[in-house]
Amino acid sequence: MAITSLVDVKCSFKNLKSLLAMALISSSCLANSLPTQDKELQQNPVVIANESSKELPRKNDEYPFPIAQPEKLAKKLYRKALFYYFQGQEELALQQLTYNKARLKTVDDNALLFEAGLQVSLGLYRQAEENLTALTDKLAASSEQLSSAEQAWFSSSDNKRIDCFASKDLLAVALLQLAEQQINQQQQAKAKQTLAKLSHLPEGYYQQYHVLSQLAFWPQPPQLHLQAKKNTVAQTIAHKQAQAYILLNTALLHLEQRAFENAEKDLIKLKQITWQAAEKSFWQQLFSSENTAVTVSSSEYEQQSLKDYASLLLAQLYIEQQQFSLAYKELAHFPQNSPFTEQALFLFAYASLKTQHYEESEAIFNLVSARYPANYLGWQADILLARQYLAQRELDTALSSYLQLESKYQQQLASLAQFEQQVISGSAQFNRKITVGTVELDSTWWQKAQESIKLTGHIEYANELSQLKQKLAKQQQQVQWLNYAITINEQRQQSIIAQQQAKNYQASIKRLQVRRDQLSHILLAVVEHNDGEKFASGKQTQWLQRISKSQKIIDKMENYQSYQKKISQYQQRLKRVEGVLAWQLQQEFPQRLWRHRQQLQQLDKSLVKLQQQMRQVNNIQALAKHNTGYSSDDILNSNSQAQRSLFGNAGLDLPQLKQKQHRLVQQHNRLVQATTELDKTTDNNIQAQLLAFITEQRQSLNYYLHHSRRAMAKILEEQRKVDNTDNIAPSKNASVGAEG
Amino acid sequence: MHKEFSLMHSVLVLFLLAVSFADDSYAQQESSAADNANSEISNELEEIKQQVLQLNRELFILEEDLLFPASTQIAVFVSVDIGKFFTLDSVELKIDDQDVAGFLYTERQRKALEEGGIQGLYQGNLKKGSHQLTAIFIGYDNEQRSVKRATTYQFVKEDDAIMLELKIEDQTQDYRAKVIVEEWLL
Repeated sequence: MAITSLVDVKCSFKNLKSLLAMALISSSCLANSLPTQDKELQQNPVVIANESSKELPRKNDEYPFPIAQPEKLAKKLYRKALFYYFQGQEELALQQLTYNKARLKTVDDNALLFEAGLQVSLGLYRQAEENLTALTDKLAASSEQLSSAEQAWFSSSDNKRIDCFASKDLLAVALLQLAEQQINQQQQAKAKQTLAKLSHLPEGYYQQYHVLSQLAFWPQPPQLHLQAKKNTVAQTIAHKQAQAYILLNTALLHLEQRAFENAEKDLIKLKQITWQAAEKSFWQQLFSSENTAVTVSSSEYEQQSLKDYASLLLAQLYIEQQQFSLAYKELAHFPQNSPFTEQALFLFAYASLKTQHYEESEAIFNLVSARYPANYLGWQADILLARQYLAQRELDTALSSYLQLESKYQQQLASLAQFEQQVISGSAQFNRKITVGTVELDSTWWQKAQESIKLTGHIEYANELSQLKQKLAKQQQQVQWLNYAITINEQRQQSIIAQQQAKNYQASIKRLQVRRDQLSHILLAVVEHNDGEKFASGKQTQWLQRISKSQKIIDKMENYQSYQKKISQYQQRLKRVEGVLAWQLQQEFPQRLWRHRQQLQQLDKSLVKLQQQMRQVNNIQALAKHNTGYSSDDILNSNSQAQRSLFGNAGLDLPQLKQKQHRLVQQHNRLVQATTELDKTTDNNIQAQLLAFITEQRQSLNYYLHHSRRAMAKILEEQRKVDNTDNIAPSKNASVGAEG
Repeated sequence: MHKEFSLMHSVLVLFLLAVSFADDSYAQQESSAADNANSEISNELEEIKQQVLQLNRELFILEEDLLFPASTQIAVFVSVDIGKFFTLDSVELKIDDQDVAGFLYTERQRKALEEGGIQGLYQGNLKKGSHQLTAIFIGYDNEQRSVKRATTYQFVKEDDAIMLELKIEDQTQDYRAKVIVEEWLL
């Protein structure tokens, strides 16, 4: 029993330690914030084509060397990811970053660090570590190449805002985060090596470095090869915050080494430290698990929790040293709503018992028993209360307590057996029940089981798998929809081809071309002969026809003697009209020639456009006909702008898109299969863990049951002895009892 | 009786020790096998998560290639520089006098823009040729009065995708915000 209890509590202690360590890491310092960084980004605009189509001046042009010049489009898309991040949509932000990488084929250092931070927040620790390693290698290589002038430029106060972009600072942040990841994965040796690579710390990062060193070197004292910079007010706040955790870790170390005096000093000091919520830089916020909106309240909660934990440790330390009155005093004002209330209540009751504050201990043991009925502390509280009655020589009350306890344990054993049956029968759908929240299991045992650390890990896996399944279901819909869109587009292409074949646009274009050539020849002939009549307007043509007709009549009149006198007069009049018309035509000839030439040019352009469109239709037709010809690598690499433009000109390359879609379907199916298998494994693990938990609980309950029965037997034996003694010499009390 | 009390006491002391500073070695040994199994599942889960994200990205790219090919694609983005003189509330977007997008901002979205984020407001298709974009921003000035800021922009759609950023910039000369259209060069 002792060992089982010990293991359970050790596990919770281990968890607590890791929680504290994480809080320790996440709660350090303040520094340059992203708004500053992003305002800087905004002041480095890309080419502007505003209403006046002019370029705005680029601030980057003033910079003395090219490394401050950002990849403009990459920065814009990076900021698009930031928009998602600031809304708390980490997954979309990460998706945007990977999209940027795939489209642009370039990776910015800030983007890589940002990606690693997002991966940490989404639980992709290995990928985050890989990215951080790649980034630190890259930055280490590039920072060595910085000239002394560049170093000076970075460190000058005028360029403080730009400083956050400096690869030197970014390298330090990346190394710190890499060390944190390595500590989280229990790779302390690697973390030590990573921390040793640090040659510089940005402002506000010293505390994080100190705490990480402490964790990496635990249980030895940390080896710090870098010193804190000059303290600012903000840094002092952050320092106090980090100092609290450093003190707590030191106190734990002293306790482990059984140096109780030192531990007591540290814990008392820890209880006196207070600090305000420190503002965190973008990178610190990114890699911490806290929500930006609750920073202040979470800081107060964090302080209170630390103080409560210190109080609890102090009380335990006093009990260990048999100084029960000190423990009693320490816990007398312990807050009601604390993460450590359960342990504190129990210890306070125990200290009360030992200091003979029986009324208080009785009340609190009862409270613990009522609040935590199926818990070790609850069970121990019951036993200790019964023991208290024995110590107070209230044999009847003690016996009655043990009787109640026996009945309670029997009930709990029965409900545990029922819970076991539920676990065995519901194993197939166990995961779904947990995640949907329609848990039909016994809620008391289920809650207790969830608190078991290993089991909680499995439930987290099950929850994550359930979320993955939902995502895969959405992707399935998307894949189907894309398939539908491709089919619709294929049909559209087919209808275009059918239309083209039915109307024979090519022949129409050829006919138009022939007609255009004829017109061109006519125009050439007109220019050559300076023939204005060809450009005559409708009225002028009528006049020309009338002149011609009149000339024919005059010619016929020559055959008649009676008209001979008038012929010359008519001829002269006709010549005058003809002359006026010819003059008019000559006057308008250049304008009309220019107009016709313009029209011919427009016709040429229209024909060229028509032919281009025709070629596009032909391309579509050709693309629709070819079903193969692109490997998957080609498809993956088809994202370059040139290729996209090519496809854009030619219409959609549906076979290629279809091939890609098929590949994604296969990938999706593989993922669904892998998720299902992992889900089964997790489900089986949860069941196994639950059954082990049930066995453990049953053993404990049986132990307490047997203990209660033995205690009852002893009480009865003692009562019999007392009765026998009373029979021999009846006392006043016994006679009163008999009367009662 | 006394012996039994001592047993309980020792159990309690063991518990107390365990809560605070007992050696973890026993628990570590016992749980190491389980931890290894957990680590395998954790790694596998991480791998699947990564692949799901990757698949998501590829589906997104495929969808974009299919629905918004470069030859017809237009994308419009919104960004805010500082946002001191103009608190963004909503935006309406028109292309060639036709409403194409509208957006009502929450406090968090507005903050995200002020922190330096860029919002993808609209993605669509356009024919080649000349077009006109009109954006109307509605918000509040320093004194919480409702104000509108609008801009029009003429552009020519050619073979490449066109990407336009609508930037709300504070003008310190007249203490007003101004909308500037910036075309991203691909």
